[in-house]
Amino acid sequence: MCIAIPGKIIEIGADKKVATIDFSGVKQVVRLDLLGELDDGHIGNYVLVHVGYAIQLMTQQEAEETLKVFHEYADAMEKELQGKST
Amino acid sequence: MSLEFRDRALGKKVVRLIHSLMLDDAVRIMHVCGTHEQTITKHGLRTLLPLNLELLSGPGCPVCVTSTKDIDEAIFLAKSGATLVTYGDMMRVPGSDMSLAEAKADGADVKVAYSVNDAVRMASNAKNDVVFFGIGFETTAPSNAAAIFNKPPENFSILISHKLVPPAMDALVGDGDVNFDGLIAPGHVSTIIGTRPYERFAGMGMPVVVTGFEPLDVLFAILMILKQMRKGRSEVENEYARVVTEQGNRKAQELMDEVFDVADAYWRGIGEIANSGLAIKPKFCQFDAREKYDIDVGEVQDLPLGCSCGLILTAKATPEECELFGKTCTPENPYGPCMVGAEGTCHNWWKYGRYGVE
Ligand code: SF4
Repeated sequence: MCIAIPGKIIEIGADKKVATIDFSGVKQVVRLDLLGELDDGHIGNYVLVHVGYAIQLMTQQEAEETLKVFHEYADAMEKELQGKST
Repeated sequence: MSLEFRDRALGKKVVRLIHSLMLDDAVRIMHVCGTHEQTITKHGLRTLLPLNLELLSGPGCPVCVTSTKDIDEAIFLAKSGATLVTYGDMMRVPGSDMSLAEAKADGADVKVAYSVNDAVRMASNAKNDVVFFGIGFETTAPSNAAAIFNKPPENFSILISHKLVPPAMDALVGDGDVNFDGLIAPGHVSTIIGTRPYERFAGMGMPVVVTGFEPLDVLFAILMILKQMRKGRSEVENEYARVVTEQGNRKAQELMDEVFDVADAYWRGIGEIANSGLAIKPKFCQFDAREKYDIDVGEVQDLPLGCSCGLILTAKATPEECELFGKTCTPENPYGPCMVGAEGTCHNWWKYGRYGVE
């Protein structure tokens, strides 16, 4: 139930209270009460959506960076372990 | 394009690292989120881990821990003429005598919705009273706070039944016989509350890692906990930094503070936990179903006779240890609450097997 799903902002409502979000082709209007002011500059950004409300703003860049950081983390740890065993 | 977070080669590497870092003694890591259990069983993560590393499932299924009394109250309201609107997951959870689905079959007006907004819309379009069954953890509570704050129609109210995760973790960590060495904290609850509420567990010697829901996320969390244990540390680490921040979602927290008071709450199968729930503030009492209606449900039966959900929710037993598992109790015919929805441990173990064999 706590699962939230990322989708892309494609339109911000005129009253700025709702946005149209694209979930890989499925479009849905979600409420923005929990995010604060969004404007047209946010179109193209991703939000995490839970039960019809956007709960977090996120970027594709963040996801890619995490993956990069994790590769580095694992590599560093591997080196550390190898260092110990040799 | 998606924000998927999968990389097979990296996954394999992390599994290798987990094996290299594993301690000689047994290690038990607990998560407190039904969606984590789903990731773990669905992807068979337990098969990849060292034999003496155990992944335990805590009280992270909001449907499972919703008290029988709250379910009975929802059924009472549906039977006394109001339209009771609920998330689909809640429909088949057994109350004392019946589930909401059974009440509906009996003629009570029960409707399923995806969002509280659907229920508000139903109220705007109907003369009838509409009551929304507000269950869920911190991830879900802000949506109901927003609905109330936005002044819904007069014929709308909420039967509030939210639960807060950190106080339940307090109860587990403070339990005399703590049976785990590290905690995986729930990603989407933490999107709202941030990572700070977990500091006190780290202070008590418990490594905590806030984690997302891809298999790689869970594997990384395990690795990070093992690393902390190896170094003799206990800290809060944030594996899910792509959506979780230290402070969490301030706006959501403010809305919750505006609309709700913290209250004691009863967790099904576990008991009452201090300050682990929410109540609607008196100034919004016209939207509080408990204030609006005279609800009388009489004697309540916590769990159906013979169901060990309470032990399963506190990781003191596994579903396989319940004699009814897969016999009297199956996903098609759930006897206890942990068998009903996609987040119930019994449900997941029956569907995917303990080791994720589909
Ligand atoms: S298998 Fe069914 S009866 Fe047994 S503990 Fe799980 S939910 Fe309860």
